[in-house]
Amino acid sequence: MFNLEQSIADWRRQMIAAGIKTPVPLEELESHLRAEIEQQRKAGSNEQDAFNSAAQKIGPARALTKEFAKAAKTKGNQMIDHNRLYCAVLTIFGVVNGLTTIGLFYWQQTVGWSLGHMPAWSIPWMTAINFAYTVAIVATLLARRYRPEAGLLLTRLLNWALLPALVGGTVLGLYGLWKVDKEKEQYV
Amino acid sequence: MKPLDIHSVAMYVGGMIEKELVAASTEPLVLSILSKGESYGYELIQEVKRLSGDKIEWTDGMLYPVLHRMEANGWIKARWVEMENGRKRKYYSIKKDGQQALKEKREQWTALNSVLSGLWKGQNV
Repeated sequence: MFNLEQSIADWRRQMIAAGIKTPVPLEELESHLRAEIEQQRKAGSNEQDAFNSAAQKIGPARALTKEFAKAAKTKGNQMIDHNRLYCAVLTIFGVVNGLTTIGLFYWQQTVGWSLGHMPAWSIPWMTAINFAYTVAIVATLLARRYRPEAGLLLTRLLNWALLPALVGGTVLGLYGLWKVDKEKEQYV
Repeated sequence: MKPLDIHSVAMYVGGMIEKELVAASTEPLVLSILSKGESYGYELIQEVKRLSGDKIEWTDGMLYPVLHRMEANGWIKARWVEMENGRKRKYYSIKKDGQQALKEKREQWTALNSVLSGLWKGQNV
């Protein structure tokens, strides 16, 4: 017996397999598919016919993927992907911070608390601050990847926290607060 | 004058108006409808079908890449609206740049129409 929800789930799988991205634009296409099915049902078609016709009208998945790929090459989409750029710079910043933390810690263990002209008391503080930044950066990057909502909040907090951190951190913090997450597509 | 953006012919099947012409008219059609108020993909397709007396027929899914490109161009913006049945629908509305793009496209299509009308005046074509 025909199962509409199962058929829509199969249709979604075919779309994803062909390269249609989710949630956007797949959710939008599914919304369209359901609207068309509903319309055809009102016109008297049975569920199966309505589904087959609606799926056919939306078009083959491969052709859709091709058109979306073309659309992605437009002027607007060729602009900088701030999300990627920010994450890349943040990763570099995190690695540098992590290495500095390890270096400072190693220095304390092997040489002691003297480092050039820097006062002895500043070494453990620098180590602790570097370590805190590294943890915050890793947590933010992970949250952005796996928990987008928490990622947004952590990014904002981290950007403020980066402002007092030397020149590079200030620039990255300002950039993050100004640009990142403000251009993302609003999918609620 | 900028050339018309004939982005794709894969979007259009059948219908009485040639597919290349339909392709070229997609953006002005979408912008014109959205200039009257926000709408969503399915409704846009139905509206174009109704207005053209079924002479313009799009392959439904192919409208969405066009909408996404227009959104990326900054001509239109989108928002998700939750419907009564709990499902979400993406509504599009025109932006200031879209109004400007529509104005330019309107001038181009009007000019073209004027030239052809002049040439065909008095002819039984």
